[in-house]
Amino acid sequence: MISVLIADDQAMVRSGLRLILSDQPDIEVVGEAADGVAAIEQARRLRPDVCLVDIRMPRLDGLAVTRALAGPGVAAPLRVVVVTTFDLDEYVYGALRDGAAGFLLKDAGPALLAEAVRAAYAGDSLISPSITVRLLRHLTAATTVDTIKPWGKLSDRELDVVRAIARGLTNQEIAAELFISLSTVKSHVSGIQTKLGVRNRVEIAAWAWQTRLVS
Amino acid sequence: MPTWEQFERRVVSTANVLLAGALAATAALVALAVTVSWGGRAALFGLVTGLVTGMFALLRDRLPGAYAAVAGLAVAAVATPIASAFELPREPGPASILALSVLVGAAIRRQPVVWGGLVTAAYAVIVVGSHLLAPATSSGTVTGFAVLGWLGAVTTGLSLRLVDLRRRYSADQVRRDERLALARELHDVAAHHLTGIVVQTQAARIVARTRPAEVADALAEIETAAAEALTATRRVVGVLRDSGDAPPTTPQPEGLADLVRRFPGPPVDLRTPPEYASGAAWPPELATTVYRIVQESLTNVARHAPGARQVSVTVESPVDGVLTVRVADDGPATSSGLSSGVLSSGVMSSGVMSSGVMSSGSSHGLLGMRERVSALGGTLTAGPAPGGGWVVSASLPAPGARGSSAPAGTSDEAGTVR
Repeated sequence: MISVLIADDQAMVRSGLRLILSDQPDIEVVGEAADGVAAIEQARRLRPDVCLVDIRMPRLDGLAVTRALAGPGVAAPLRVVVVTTFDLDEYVYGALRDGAAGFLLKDAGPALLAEAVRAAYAGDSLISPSITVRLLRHLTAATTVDTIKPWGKLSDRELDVVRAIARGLTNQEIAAELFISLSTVKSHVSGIQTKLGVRNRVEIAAWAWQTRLVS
Repeated sequence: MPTWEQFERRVVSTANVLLAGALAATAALVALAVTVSWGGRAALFGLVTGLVTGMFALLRDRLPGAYAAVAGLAVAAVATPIASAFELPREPGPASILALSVLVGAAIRRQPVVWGGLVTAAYAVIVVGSHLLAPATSSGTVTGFAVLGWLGAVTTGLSLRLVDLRRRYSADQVRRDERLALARELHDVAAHHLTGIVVQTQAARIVARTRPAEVADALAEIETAAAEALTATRRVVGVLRDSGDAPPTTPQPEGLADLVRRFPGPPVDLRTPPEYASGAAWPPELATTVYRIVQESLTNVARHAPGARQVSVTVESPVDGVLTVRVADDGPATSSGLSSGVLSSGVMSSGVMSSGVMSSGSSHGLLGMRERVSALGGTLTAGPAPGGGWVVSASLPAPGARGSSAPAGTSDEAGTVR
């Protein structure tokens, strides 16, 4: 069972998401929070596998919540998926930097929603790849990165994996495309994360877009 | 609180009075001086050209386009060869220079660049030409004054044109920003609510499959959310429609009676058809427009017709689907006395001034009314009544309004207030 916490200020969104997720046999909603402070408190107490966090919330916004639960320096980070109303959100870069594992549109639909929770839990694919890749592409044009890490740290094979991740491929798809085994892909991914100093898949993808490794 | 336009109109009317005084004084002094040195014939000629060009200068805002400037320049241009033929001073006198400078400056400020350029060039030709036609013995003083006048007209006209341009630009900017902000708010509000509705609907489909008995509850929640979304959207759009000095968003029938009762001016005779008082007979935008027309007209009466003793507000039942609103006052101010007032005394009487303010003042408010009325497919006329006073009259299509079968006559529902 994947345990999920839902943080959103709209009661009808919370109850709707709860109904949708509870319908899945492998997902269990363990808590709901109506504002940012309550979200942090519940997440620390319940330690859910995945937190779905709305950006615009009273008292503390979703970015601050993400930072507190998954940000740099957090001892035992949780997996946070930022749930947004708008597909072009100016907060995307902030959410990424704050350690969000991915983005999801609130109205993505039951199938995508459940997939996103599973992807965040497993970490082997981008969360709602089409949306995330589009957001990341937008990010390339909109932001300049403080320190662009050189590609040189990575081997050619690792760069291939990075490009595949940036395009939204799952580990399994990468394995098939590069004719390598799934466990090799996984070891490449963790190697890349170590070398780039990033925490999750979506950060690898963002790095690829920002350094224009993919375009 | 006076707007910038009202303030400017006040400045312009004051400036016109000062200009009239300056023209008259200059013309009189010069006439005196010329009588001494050239004789009475020359003085009379100079006085007449000065006063005629001066008249055009004072009428510059009433004549369309650059007509006033063209006419003033034509007078000066014709006067020069005539003066030459009769051995009189060829150069335009100081009063003419003053008038021509005002005319050319105003044209540079207000008219299209081509017209501004043409009148500027024509003015220069007159100054240079008259100087060339003058006898060699003539002193350059008058020509020097004319050159100064020309320079003054060009610099003042250009700077005022720049100021106007900048003001229009910043007004546009403000309007654009406002519109953008409202669009963003509308989008945010709509998206916020619609997202909830979408999520709830997705959940309801699951409920329908797993716990069919609870579908009704889910639907009720969706309905509530949709209604809330509609209310929120209406609120934002309401702000969009009624920005600024908006009346209450939905003026009720008793609104007109209230409005009339609050009116600080002369007594108002309000006549409304019976179905208006009973309410809900007309679509809200029609009622709002009627209210706005009456409000704007009464405001104009209070501001610009201080002499009015009686105002009548008449709203008539739709006949053949057309509703009429008429607001009339018996204020004595008319604009017909203007030219005689200027020509006879050279100084504007206060009565003439108030009528000058009135026509331009109400034209501003009229613009808003006319926009509103034409948006509903109606027409609006405003102007002096034959028997004196001012009448604003509007015809509005009243689709679906009841009462079209009723006689055109009105009932004395509200009666005379005060």
